[in-house]
Amino acid sequence: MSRRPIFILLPLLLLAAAAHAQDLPTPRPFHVGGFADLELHTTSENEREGLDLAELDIFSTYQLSNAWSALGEAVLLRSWRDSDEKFDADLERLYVEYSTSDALRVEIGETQTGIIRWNEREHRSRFLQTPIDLPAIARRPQDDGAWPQRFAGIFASGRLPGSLGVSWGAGAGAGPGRVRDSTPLTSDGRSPAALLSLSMAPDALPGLELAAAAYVGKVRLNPGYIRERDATLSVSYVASGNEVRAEWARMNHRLSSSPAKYRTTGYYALFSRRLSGRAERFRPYLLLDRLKIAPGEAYLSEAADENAWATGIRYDITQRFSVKGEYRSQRTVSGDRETIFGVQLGLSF
Amino acid sequence: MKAQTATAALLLVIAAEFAAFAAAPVRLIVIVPSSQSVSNLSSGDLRRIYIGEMTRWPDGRRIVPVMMPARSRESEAFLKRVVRMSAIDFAQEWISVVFRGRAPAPPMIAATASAALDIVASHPDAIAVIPDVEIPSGMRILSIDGHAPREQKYPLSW
Repeated sequence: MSRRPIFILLPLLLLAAAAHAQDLPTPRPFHVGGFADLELHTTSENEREGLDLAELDIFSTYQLSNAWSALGEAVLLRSWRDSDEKFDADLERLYVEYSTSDALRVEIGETQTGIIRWNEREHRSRFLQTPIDLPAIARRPQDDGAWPQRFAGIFASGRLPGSLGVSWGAGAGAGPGRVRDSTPLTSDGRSPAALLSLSMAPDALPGLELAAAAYVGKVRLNPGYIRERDATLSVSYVASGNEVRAEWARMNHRLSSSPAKYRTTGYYALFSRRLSGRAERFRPYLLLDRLKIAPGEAYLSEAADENAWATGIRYDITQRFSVKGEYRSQRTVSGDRETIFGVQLGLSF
Repeated sequence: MKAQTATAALLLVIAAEFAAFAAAPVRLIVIVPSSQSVSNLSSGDLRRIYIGEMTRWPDGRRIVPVMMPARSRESEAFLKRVVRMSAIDFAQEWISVVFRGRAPAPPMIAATASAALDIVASHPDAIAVIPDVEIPSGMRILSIDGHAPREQKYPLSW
């Protein structure tokens, strides 16, 4: 508990720093930035209330040359949820990138699978996303999420010239292993994985993007393994103040030691619109969130079904400082409906 | 009575001035150093450059986008009609672009068209969207969707 004041003060200090960071942007080789957020919740069951999450996400990019660059990202998280105090410090991304063309970009190191489009776009930052919480299919394994998020290896991507705005991505390396939030690289624990993505953003309708992604992996359990096949489809339209994002994801697991097959599915849909005129700092939103974990699958025993909807409003105090208020209704494990009121302060610096 | 007439006249003048300002046509030009090989851009690619999805010139160099302050009349028109974002959404989009490692920095902001010309003159990889002004030698005005600024179908004229 003694660390709590630090987590309250730190974002405030960063806010002060951000206030001084409004200088004209100029190209520079080294960039350090980040995000901080605080969340406060109260539930209809009165099981928990008050401050329950504080997060600091710091990243750095370095432009080594015209073609080479590097990126590192680390997250510090302090959670008081469910009366279970947790401190988590993670290296999220660390890679070098080579690119001399928009048609080909190669990243080598630890990055994200991108199998869930929400993560591909937002990565970790809660400031950048409209609602307070992540959709269930986008949660990290550390937060009891189901889909693999981390990937260590080589990932190539690019955008093809033309009015269809076709982008592609392909990678090979190691995915999560027996422990779902780690990507072991040693020969006895390495879990080979590959992924493929394709998207289209046609000029004819600026802001529209259609995307599909696939992930195959062999999760080494010692003994045995799980054969994983994931697929996602997503559509988004972000233009003229409107934001529509919807994504459907399926994860198939097959154990090497038995004929049992497990299928986990989920989807979300987010609708928001920035108001106009004097109210342009407000963005009301609605989120639908579903996740159905395959019954009886031991590998995903920590993940839980989700059946929730949330509505709220985001207010951008500045371009880099926002506050969100949200009402969320979700079904609990016992089948009852639980309502949660949440407030989040988010900051980018 | 005189006071009422004067007030009404003043309000009419203010309204007329406001209407003239609001309705004044905006024409933007897109300039690059003449050392660049590009002479035409599609409006789709122009949008991609200013949302960080297109980051390289054909020769592989990083594009350095330049624009007027987001609250200027020219940038408001550009953001609304081409980028299709509000100033807040545009700023946050660029926070995301830099965070994802797609580009090292958001567009450079030039306080005036003259300042934008100075940046383009000194930076071989720059591109700037500015009001229709006379440009000095050493720079090129790009056609957009195959149309030059004086043509009727030029897409950056409203």
